[in-house]
Amino acid sequence: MQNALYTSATIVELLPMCVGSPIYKITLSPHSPLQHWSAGQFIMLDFGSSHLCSFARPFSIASIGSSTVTLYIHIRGKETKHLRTLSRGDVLHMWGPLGNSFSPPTKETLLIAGGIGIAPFVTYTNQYRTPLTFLFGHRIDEENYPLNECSTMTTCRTFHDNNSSSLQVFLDEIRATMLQYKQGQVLACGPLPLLRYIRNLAIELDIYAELSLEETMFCGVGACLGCVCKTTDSYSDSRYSDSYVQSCTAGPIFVAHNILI
Amino acid sequence: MVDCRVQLGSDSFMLSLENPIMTASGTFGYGLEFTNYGDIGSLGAIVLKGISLRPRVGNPMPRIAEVEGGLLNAVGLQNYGVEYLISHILPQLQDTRATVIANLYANSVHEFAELARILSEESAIHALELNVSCPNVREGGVLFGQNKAMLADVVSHVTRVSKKHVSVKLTPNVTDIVEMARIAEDNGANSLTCINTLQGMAVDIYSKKPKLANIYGGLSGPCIKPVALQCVHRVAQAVSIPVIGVGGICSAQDVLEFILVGAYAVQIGTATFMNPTFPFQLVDELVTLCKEIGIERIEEFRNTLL
Ligand SMILES: Cc1cc2nc3c(=O)[nH]c(=O)nc-3n(C[C@H](O)[C@H](O)[C@H](O)COP(=O)(O)OP(=O)(O)OC[C@H]3O[C@@H](n4cnc5c(N)ncnc54)[C@H](O)[C@@H]3O)c2cc1C
Ligand SMILES: Cc1cc2nc3c(=O)[nH]c(=O)nc-3n(C[C@H](O)[C@H](O)[C@H](O)COP(=O)(O)O)c2cc1C
Ligand code: FES
Repeated sequence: MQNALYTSATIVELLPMCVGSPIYKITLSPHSPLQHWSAGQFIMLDFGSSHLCSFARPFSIASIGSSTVTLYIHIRGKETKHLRTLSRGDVLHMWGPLGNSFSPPTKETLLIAGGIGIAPFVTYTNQYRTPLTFLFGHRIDEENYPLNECSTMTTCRTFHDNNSSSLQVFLDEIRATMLQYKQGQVLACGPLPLLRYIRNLAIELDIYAELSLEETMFCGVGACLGCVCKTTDSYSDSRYSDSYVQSCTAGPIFVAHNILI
Repeated sequence: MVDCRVQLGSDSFMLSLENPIMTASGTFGYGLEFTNYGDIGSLGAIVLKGISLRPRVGNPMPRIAEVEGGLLNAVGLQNYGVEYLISHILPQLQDTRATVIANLYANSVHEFAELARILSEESAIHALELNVSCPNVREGGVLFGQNKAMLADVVSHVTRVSKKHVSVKLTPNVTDIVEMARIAEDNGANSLTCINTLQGMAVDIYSKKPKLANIYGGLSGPCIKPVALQCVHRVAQAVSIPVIGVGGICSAQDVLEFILVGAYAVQIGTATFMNPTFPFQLVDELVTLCKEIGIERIEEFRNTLL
């Protein structure tokens, strides 16, 4: 939050991940450079879809270069579909970096992502450049995702979970692997059902896990109270125990034991 | 040079603002959330998130849904409570030289008066705004703003104990907002804030569910601007205390529209969610627009609708 700023940004690269992919890599050159960010943080990106009323959307920072920021965006609906109408040279608005970040790796750190939840781990694996195991589940083909952009020091195991039996294989593998990380930490990002599964495992097996939530956000700065997540008694800030906290400022990353999802 | 200063009232409860741009309650947090994006002391005033005597958890999720031209919200006044506001937030606000208005919410006349009494003692607070118009809470809230006797009761009790300027924030969800405005004025209000959100609803035909857990919510954003303008115009013609216009403001032109129909100042709400620097930018854009049109003093443009 300390370094967050609002800036316009020029699109310097915008490409689908493969022919016909719903996922785009977008590289922007912010007119004021983003500074002091860490893996897990996000920006709010305004697609400028309507002159009068367009709300920005949150996206994980997948990498920041000296004068650029790269995101991977899965086209879902109202705002993200505008990606298809944009091109190099167009100017958008954004603010960030926002939110908290994942803890740095300890000796044993397991990364788990589902789908576009891979985005923060592109930064994470490159920021820390240490051997890490990464379990990655995806519904559409692997070539849609920036797996090659993750550090080569990362051991990636991918699971094509496009039906219920292959999904079960992924979930079983998560359980089996998490058991080997009882002294370490699990960092996860992905769809809510996956995060819920990992949260429940973390509690059952008493493993430290950090989950990056994808709540709907409107302001990204803690003001609208539309992105809140329910906390448990173990949440450190007693003001919030058993009540709601903004996932844009207190999160998007929460310790599994501290939240109800 | 354009003179943007405005004075709300003329008696001992007068509130002087450097410019007419204020932030709307519930859309600017406690102000501190925005210090990265601009100098909150440069705004006319900031209105804090609604505060109650005790902390409130707020409504379940989902609380906000996007609709055509705006938002529907049912946040339910989640807040830390007045004690925390005084101990942790006001000291930080004091350092910013911002003009700070507290937005008060309570379930009873007694609680409203108690809150006003407590906050009157705080030097970091410059005025109080009574939220008798929140559509998203079960008790209190909009009930006070929709019932003539209750409104008279709450405004008279609060203004009796308050040592600060008191603005009453009116709801458009009534048959006749002018009648409510007059009641607030007659019972001692120093200014009126028009308007709070309009009650609305959004549903999803695929899940067959309402888009808000609370089912109904308050509509805000550019889609309500014509309603807000009309309320401000009618109220401003009917009362002699200042009216603060709010509802859908997204540009300097919108600001001048509200001033043209009689508003002394304006509040920016939903537009801040689209761009956290917006209220700060607007202060400059307003000056530029005034120069373009040839307005030298904001006050001379007020209520000049032909
Ligand atoms: C901190 C954070 C980081 C994120 N990082 C990324 C990222 O790096 N890349 C990325 O592609 N997305 C990311 N998201 C999700 C992204 O913000 C949403 O997909 C986006 O807001 C959808 O906007 P839209 O207007 O296109 O969809 P809408 O029109 O708002 O929604 C269309 C449909 O998509 C569904 N939808 C909305 N949000 C999600 C979601 N999060 N997951 C699954 N379905 C959803 C809705 O239920 C709806 O049915 C992140 C979210 C958060 C909170
Ligand atoms: C998310 C949200 C929260 C709000 N919370 C409050 C509140 O606590 N107290 C209050 O008096 N008004 C509250 N409002 C109403 C606004 O202050 C304002 O009256 C309304 O949104 C109309 O202005 P706008 O169209 O510029 O947003 C809230 C509005 C929104 C969108
Ligand atoms: S997105 Fe507005 S409070 Fe989090």
